[in-house]
Amino acid sequence: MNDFFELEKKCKQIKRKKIIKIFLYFLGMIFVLICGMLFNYLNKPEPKPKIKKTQPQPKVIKPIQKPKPTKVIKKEIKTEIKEKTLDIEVDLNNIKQPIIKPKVIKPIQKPKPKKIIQEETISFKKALKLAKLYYNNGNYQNSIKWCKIASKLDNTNEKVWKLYALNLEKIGQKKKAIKVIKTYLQYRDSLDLKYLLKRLEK
Amino acid sequence: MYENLIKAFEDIIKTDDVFHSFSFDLALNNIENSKNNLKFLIGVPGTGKSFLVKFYEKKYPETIVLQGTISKEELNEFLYSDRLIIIDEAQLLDINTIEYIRTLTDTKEYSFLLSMHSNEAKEILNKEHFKSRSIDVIELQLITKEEMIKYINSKLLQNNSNYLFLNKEFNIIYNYTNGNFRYIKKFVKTLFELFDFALKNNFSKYKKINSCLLTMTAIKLGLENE
Repeated sequence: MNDFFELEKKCKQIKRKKIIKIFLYFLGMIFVLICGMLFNYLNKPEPKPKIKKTQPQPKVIKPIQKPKPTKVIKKEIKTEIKEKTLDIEVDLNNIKQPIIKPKVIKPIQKPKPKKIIQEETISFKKALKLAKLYYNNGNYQNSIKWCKIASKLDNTNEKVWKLYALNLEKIGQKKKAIKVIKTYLQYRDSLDLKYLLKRLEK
Repeated sequence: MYENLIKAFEDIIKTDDVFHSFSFDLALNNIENSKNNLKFLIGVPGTGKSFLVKFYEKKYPETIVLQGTISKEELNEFLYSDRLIIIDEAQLLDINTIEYIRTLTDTKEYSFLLSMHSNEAKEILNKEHFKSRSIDVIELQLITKEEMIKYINSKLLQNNSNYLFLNKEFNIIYNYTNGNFRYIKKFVKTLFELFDFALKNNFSKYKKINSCLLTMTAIKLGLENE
């Protein structure tokens, strides 16, 4: 066993080599990782600045494909309500002109460019306000349009549904209005809408 | 301290101390049951071909066992039609002798078993006149890790050793030896030699077999690339 110490020395050398190999391997891995991260960071597309369009809004109502999820109602309820709103939108193509109220003081067909707000950036409150304004001015089609936009932002708000039903009533679609209210009442309770339903059913 | 174990793992053929690996038993069974007059026992060096030949000789004493250094003329002296003639290390036979053996077996009077290394055997068997004949080729395989563990443990227990290897040590041994029976014996023997030396000299680092001792053994046997 004269070679014991020599073997021991060689063993230590081999171990040292193995440790260096492992260390270099990890170093390489870290280097590759950092390079990858750096590459990703440098190639990251810059966020596009939001530009507000000043052109007047198109008259055609875009179909609501995917309404935003609401905070209050459970997932199942949400989808149901969304589906219902979509059904209503399809039917809106056949909307008739107002029959009952010919009292149109100032029909706002083309609002001033300054006041026009982009559908995408508008808040729920503004959409509801516009819907109300159009309703008060007798422009039920536009009111319906803004009701739809408002419902896109919050489809649980009973005020939107109420206004929507009232608009339908005004354009002579009473049955549709009843259906809309009933749909809402299936999922949420509202005294206001119940009263309106009773009135419409009379 | 571990002299008995060093002795137990010496590479000496002892037919009374057989380790029955699956490959060994299968090869033995094939030799016993083969009706072909020309048989080849092949395997890489260290798989136990020579041991199997010795074991067969002991089991069937009428068998004639010759070495591969035998000449054609000398072979004629051992030709008995009713006995199996085994030639160990047959890769050492010259081409003429192999051809002669082939013609002898063609007469159906003599039975031969040629034990040789795999590579040489494949070269011979690939020749046209061997290809066209039905020859039994019995191959001895390397042993599995489980068989190696069984073998080492049985040896340790036979020698009343108080030392038992851990699983990770078995893994290292198997990785170095690749299931080669000769290497396994050499490895364990050398390992115990180094361990014994360390214990006798009171090297505190080597109170038990560690990875360093295993690597040192591998270096000594040339199994570790430095």
